[in-house]
Amino acid sequence: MWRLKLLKYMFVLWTILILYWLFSYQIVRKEAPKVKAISKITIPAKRGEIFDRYGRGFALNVPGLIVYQISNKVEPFEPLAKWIGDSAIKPLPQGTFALLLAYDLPIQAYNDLKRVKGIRIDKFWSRDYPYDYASLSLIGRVDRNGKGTRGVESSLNDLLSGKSGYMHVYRTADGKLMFSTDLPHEEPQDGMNFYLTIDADIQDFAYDQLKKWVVKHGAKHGLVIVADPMTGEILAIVNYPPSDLKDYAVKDPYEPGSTFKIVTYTYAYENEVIDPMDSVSTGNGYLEIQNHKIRDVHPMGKITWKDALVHSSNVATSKLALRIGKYRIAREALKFGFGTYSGILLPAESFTSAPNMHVSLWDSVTFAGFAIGQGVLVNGVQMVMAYSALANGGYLLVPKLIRAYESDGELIRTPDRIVIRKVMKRKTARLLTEILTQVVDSGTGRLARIKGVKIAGKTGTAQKFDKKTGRYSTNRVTSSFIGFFPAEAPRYLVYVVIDEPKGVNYGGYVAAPLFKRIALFLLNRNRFRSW
Amino acid sequence: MKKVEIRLMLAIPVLLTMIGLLELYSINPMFFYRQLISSFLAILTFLLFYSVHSDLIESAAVPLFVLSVLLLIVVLGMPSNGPKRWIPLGGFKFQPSELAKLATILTLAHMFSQKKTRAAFWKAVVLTLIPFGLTLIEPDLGTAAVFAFIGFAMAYLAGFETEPLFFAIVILLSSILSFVPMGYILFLAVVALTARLLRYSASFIFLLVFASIIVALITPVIWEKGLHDYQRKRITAFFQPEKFEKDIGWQTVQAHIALGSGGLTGKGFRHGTQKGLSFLPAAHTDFIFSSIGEEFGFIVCSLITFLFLWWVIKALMISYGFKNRFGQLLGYGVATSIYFHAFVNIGANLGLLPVVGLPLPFITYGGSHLIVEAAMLGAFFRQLKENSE
Repeated sequence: MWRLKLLKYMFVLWTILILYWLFSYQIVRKEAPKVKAISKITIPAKRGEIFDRYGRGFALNVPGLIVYQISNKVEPFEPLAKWIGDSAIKPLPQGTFALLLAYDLPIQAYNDLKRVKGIRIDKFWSRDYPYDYASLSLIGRVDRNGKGTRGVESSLNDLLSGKSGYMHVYRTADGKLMFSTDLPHEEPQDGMNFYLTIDADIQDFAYDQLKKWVVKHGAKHGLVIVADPMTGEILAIVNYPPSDLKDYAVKDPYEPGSTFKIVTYTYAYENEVIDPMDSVSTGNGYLEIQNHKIRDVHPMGKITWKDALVHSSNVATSKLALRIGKYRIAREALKFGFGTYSGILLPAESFTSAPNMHVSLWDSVTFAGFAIGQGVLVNGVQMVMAYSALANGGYLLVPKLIRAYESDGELIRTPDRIVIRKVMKRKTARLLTEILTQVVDSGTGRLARIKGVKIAGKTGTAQKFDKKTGRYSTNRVTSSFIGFFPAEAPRYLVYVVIDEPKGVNYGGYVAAPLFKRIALFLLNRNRFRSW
Repeated sequence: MKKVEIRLMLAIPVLLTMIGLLELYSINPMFFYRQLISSFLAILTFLLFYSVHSDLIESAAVPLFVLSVLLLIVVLGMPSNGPKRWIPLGGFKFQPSELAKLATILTLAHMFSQKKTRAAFWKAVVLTLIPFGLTLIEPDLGTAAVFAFIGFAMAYLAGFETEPLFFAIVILLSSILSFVPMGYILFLAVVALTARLLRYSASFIFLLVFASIIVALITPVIWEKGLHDYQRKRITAFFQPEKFEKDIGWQTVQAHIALGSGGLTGKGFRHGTQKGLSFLPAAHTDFIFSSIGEEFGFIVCSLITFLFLWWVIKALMISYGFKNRFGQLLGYGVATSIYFHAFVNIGANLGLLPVVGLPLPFITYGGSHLIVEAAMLGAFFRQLKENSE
């Protein structure tokens, strides 16, 4: 019967195949007995990249090389001298197998170095920062282990670094590695890419200008923040010098000076404590409280409340604050976001709201100082968000640093803006903006004036506390200017802080001109852009 | 029929069971003692089926089939997180799909021995599809394949025109295999060749290949475009339940190491390291062949393989000589069933086939399959006795 025969033949055929495989497994190949161990190998994930708002790279992955010396005989020597330097090769210390020669060589060096004997070359993903120093304090860097050390690289480290995968390999007795997809393995998950709200052009320009300014005034440190007050987007954060690890934007708070007066005046106008056209006496230019004198730059006599802000009278502001009371002013400051986290996604934000004691313990001197921005510590981002609230009709916003992020190839936009709370009525914001435009037109901020553009701004000159003498110094100050424009419909807010300028050190003289330069850049750039 | 051959036919299953017991003792004496109990039950079952007249067995076929289908439905209702394959029975777990294999063989043998009409053929197809579908839902792809294979082989050996069945199976496999292009091409070649060997007409083969290609081209498109993500996941989980158990690939690799490290003569009884250090999971069930390979080597492994083949072919030839049509078909069913189990299991151990969880007959740990196999043998030898009288 042919059907039965056919089935029998198929059975025999399959059995022969089985026997053949069994034979090849157990007799011929015998790979398995050689397998000594199975070891786990980590597959690193690719770190996410950081771009500016238009996709220009701030932190990119480029292939790089790590070079080790693994023998005392290294030759030929010329390629090494070219890439690493003459003195690199030393005898290996006793019991050492490898010595790190160079960590961050460009991939081009490989062609030269591959013929050198006695060294080992490993390829890895290196990090490139095209904007170099201009982005150093903001973007930060990664250490040798690929971990972010400062800036965005540090604060977003977990999301940037992704999740490394692993695989198992056989390690045979003769030292070979065999990979098999049958073993448990997991693909690495690459890190997310981030598109910041930063505009690389503005960042770059602001860095150049700030550098010039800090050098020109012999200052210790400088900060520039550019933001969009309507959305809370940060367009640039620049610290100079970036290498000294100081960061006035978030990490190292400072005393702001007169720019802080906005807190007291907002409370006063919001609650109709005063009318801008009412007059106030500033006397001989000083106010004595418990044997302490609060001084104006020059005596102004009897002036209106409006002029008290325009000309930045310390006496009038202290008087006003004392009339309102410390609890109300302290609460108003908290409402503006001083003394809490601004919420910016940068590492180590610090916000000590000195005087570092409970409000009930403040004496009148402490409190009067608080009102004019002395003895209170703020960071740059807090100040920018407070003035943004003025500019945008009263809304305190979350400072936005990330415009979009890319996860698994999908681009996700962050919300346009996040409102924390309403700080003041639109009417109050309008009124204060109007007064601040006069600061630039005819007050302390005249050097920031630009023809044809209405700019609202405020100067600040904070005396620095001298720890040695235990008193406020008169010649060591923090000069600043903060302003936004066009005042009718603000698009940009620029904050300039110059720490310890030498010579004439008023904020209106030191910081306001830098503000003007950056403002002109922004305005011109915008004009070209609209064509 | 020589007496020696018949004695061998009886001795081989006993020998295989003993090899299994030995290896189970090596893996864990606990398995050995439990399997010993199952073996005694198996012997009793064998004697029971051997002593009952074949007419009685034939008349019990349909009730047994109904019972096993009911049990298969019951097992689906069992509370279980994973696959639903067992009914707890005291200290043991009973697997109704094993009983269903016996019942299906008996029922098909009964039906095919009555009349050779087209209606009878389709009735048998529908009947086979019931346990096939029920085990597929459990899910137990391997056992479902057993029903399909037994059904096809018995219908084929009974002399029915098997084109429609062959066609259906090929189309089903085409749509699954279309995701592995190389595998599909190979499959198509094997199908064409097999169809030629089965002496199907040229026009049928042409139609078959043509339809298969169409299905293979359309399936991926439907998969990508026509299905939602969750639907795809469900289907994947359905066909590859092992993927959702931990590290199935690990098992296969460990099985290879175990087999390969055995060499010609093995490491010796109780000297296998892979299973001892728990490197080889399921050493006593799916991968017992690999455990044996590690400890006893190529000689014993190829002997086992050869014994299975010899027994099955001998059983087919003996059955061909039966005058009783029912007995003949019963013999075919038993032989093909044992062959399919053995060689799918060994194939999985060698990595030639996916691990679908079919036991290695007589050897794998487990009472249900051993007892059912004993029953099959009992019925088969009863036929041998009656036909040679």
